[in-house]
Amino acid sequence: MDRKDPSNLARPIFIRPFLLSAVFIVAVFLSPVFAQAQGSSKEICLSCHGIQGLEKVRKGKPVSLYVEREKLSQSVHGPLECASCHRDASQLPHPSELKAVQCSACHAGASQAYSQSVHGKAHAKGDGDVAFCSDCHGSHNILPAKHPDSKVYPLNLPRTCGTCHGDPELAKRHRIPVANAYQLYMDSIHGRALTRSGLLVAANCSSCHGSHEIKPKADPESKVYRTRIPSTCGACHAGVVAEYFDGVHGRAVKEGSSVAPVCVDCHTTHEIRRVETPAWKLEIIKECGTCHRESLRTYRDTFHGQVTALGFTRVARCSDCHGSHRILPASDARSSISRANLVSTCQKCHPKANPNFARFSPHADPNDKERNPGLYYAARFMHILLIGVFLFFGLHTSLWLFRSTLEVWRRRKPPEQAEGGPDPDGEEGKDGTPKP
Amino acid sequence: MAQAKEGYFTRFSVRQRLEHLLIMVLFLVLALTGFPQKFFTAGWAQWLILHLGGIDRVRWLHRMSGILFSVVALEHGGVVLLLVLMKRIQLNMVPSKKDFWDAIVTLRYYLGLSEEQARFGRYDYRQKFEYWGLIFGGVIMMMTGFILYFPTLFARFLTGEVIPAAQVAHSNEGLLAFLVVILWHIYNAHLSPDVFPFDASIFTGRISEERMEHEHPLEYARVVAEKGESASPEEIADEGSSKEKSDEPSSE
Repeated sequence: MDRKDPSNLARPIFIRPFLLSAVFIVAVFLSPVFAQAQGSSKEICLSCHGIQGLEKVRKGKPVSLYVEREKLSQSVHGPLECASCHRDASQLPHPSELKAVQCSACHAGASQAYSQSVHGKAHAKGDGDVAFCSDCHGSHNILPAKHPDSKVYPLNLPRTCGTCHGDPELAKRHRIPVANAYQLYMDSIHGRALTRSGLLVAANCSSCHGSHEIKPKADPESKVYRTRIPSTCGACHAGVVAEYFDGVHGRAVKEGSSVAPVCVDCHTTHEIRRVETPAWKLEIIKECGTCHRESLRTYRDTFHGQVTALGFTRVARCSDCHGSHRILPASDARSSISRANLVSTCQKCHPKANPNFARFSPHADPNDKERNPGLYYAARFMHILLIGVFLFFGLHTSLWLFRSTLEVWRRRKPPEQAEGGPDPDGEEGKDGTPKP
Repeated sequence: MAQAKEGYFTRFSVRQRLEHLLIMVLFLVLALTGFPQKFFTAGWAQWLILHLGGIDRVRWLHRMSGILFSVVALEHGGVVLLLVLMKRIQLNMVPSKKDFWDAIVTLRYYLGLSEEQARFGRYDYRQKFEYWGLIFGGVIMMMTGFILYFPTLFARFLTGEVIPAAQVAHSNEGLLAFLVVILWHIYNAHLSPDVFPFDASIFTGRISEERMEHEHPLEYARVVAEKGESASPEEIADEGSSKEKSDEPSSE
């Protein structure tokens, strides 16, 4: 009974080659019979390819020819005949070396997009590492993208991309600028939403980079080309991007500025963090300062700037006064730092702030006589006082030290003279000496 | 060397010693928690903040010490005012014309232009200078410190422009006070050959007759004359030794 089960037949290793050869020969000779008898070429194919361990040697390496019957039947392509993809295998015996499957025959759009993509171009050049259709979608086990087991299902896609984009060796070989995109992403707010909460709406690789059409970021058509980033992020963060394009930075980007900050300048790319973390809150100040150098310098002169530099996060940072996505110039009445709104902006932290308080200049420069005369003179006065007093005290102390040292030295030198010479001056203190 | 006198004078009261001790400790805590905030970019500042338990705790310590410092300062001011009104003390800390001439004489002596030494009373001009420096510095520090502590409160009466000015003043005056204390007061109390290695009189309240006579001859004379017969044994000078010893101040 047991011995008739095909899986058991293949078990003893020493008889495997014989069995395989036998099956192969039988299959080749009987195939026309089967085809006529059962009307399904798939069963005929599987009569050989359904045997676990079926393999051949190509360029000295074993290549599996085994097709899992169950996976194939569950796949989106399950109803298709084998020859729908493997066209040169429609007749038996089929050539020993089949041509590569042309997905484009059916999936023309995806295939066209792929051929223009960074992957497709590299593939055309004969790059053996680069992702091809089957690397992302699988082959016989191919599932619809919405199937939870699909390799391109949102929750699975990062792992699929990560097989290459989490491999520093491969990145080095192919000069991929971000070698550990997968690891960075998995730690990011998007990655955690995906892995911890299973959020299908969390951005995954393809949300930002696209899928078939992925282009390098230097390509103006890339979804992650600098000036296209806001609209890419805006596909999910619509409200934020609307605000952003209303603010100075967004407007500058719209007008073609290549230096105005886009989302990733502040939020980074793969490693995007929650903005509530202290580290992010303090780092972002420096980010603003990469362009607004003077403002950062004067900010650091103030109390706010000093304590934030020491790790204190509960005082005003750039965005607390200027806003974040919709930053508007003070001349704009809607701006948080416009004359009309300044007091209420201060009141966010200082509830009792009044217009007088709002005259506090958060970027006061003690060296700017025109803009901050009071501060300028206060600073000058303090500097003069500091230097003056210190010099006076320094000089006085040095002279004192010099003279007392000299005295001590003199007193020691001629001991007989000091004891011998009575001093009229010294008597004075004794006049009033009380009696015991 | 002449034999030292064994008698002692009481120079500072318990209140004065306690005030000094409190101000000293608070000054140190304020400097320790203040300078890392002023020199926030320096590595040592960040190290110190970290080891003091983070910026939150450092700020709390600084503010609490500031409040206590102000309490001691107010107590001192109040008590002195009261004592003056009650005519219990003399105004011996008030600068006088004599202090000016004392300074000239002393500077001439330091420069070797003259061998004449000024004869000081209870407080010499250097001590007065230091005292008033602490008073004025302390007033600046307290005023600006509280402006920075309660900016909105002060903005009710003052323009917001005083806030950065207060910060500049607080930070610079803090540095000034620290440098003066390091340079002048530490010299005065430790390094000066007259007292080296340590002048303990502000802690013990006592000063030896020898030093009293040498450093504050007028005060010495006054106290000795005042006390007369009723002098307590502690304050009594050993007459025998004082004869030999008294050569020192002006012997060349």
